[in-house]
Amino acid sequence: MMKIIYSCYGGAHTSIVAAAIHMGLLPEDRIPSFNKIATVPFYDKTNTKSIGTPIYLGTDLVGNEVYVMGMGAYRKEGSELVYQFVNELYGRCKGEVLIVNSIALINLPIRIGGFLSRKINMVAIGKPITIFGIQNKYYSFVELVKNVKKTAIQQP
Amino acid sequence: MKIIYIFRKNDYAATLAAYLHLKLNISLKDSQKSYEIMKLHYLGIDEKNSEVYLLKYNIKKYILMNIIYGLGNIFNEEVRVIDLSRFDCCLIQILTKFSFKNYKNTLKEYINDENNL
Repeated sequence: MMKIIYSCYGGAHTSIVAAAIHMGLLPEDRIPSFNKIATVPFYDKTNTKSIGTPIYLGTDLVGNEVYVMGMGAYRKEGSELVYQFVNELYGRCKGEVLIVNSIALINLPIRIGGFLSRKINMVAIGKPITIFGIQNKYYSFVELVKNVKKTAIQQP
Repeated sequence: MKIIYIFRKNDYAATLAAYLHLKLNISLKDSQKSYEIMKLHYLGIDEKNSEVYLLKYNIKKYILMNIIYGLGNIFNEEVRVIDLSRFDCCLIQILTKFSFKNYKNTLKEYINDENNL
């Protein structure tokens, strides 16, 4: 089965939410409450030094392993490295690994809140701002995850 | 096991390190090789059946290390990263022109220590 890696800048907000929706920890049919998002495992937890370290969130219903990985400002280089590594192991990437870039879903509140919380440690102010941003863009996350699940099924 | 030599600038030191590891003789042509950035270059298999790679990088080192070791964990693959950035210094690159034997010995010593060979 495949390894699905949701990636973003720090691996703390957008990728965590996308992976949580994939795993069924967050709903697909409605916008979750503030507390529901705040209590998602690893939400707003990763620090700068752990950027690049994959976080395992679980195995989905079809057996794909779901990970989250922050790649900092090097998403393109990091993604290419992952695909190269997998290619060296298996001779192919299709069906073995899928990297999903969730940074495109970031909006201004998530950016500001993430900076306040993760960079300057003002968690009490930053975290609620990120959640507000996530809720504003929630259905885009759901759409992304639905597309990922469809793609994952189509791969051998 | 995968052994990955990572470096930023000194392509020659990286090539030499890998050849020393693999106990091969480096030719003039090989010594002038340059490598694409952020591309894994396979060099060969050593006597312990470990695959030896070179990786020239341009991202922050701790992110690169986290990604590589993280991938090793995800895919249950033993990975060892050996950092050659200490040989990236311009002074060392210049010194190679004057004392190749000492430079080679220093590199060999470093590789042996890192690999516990």
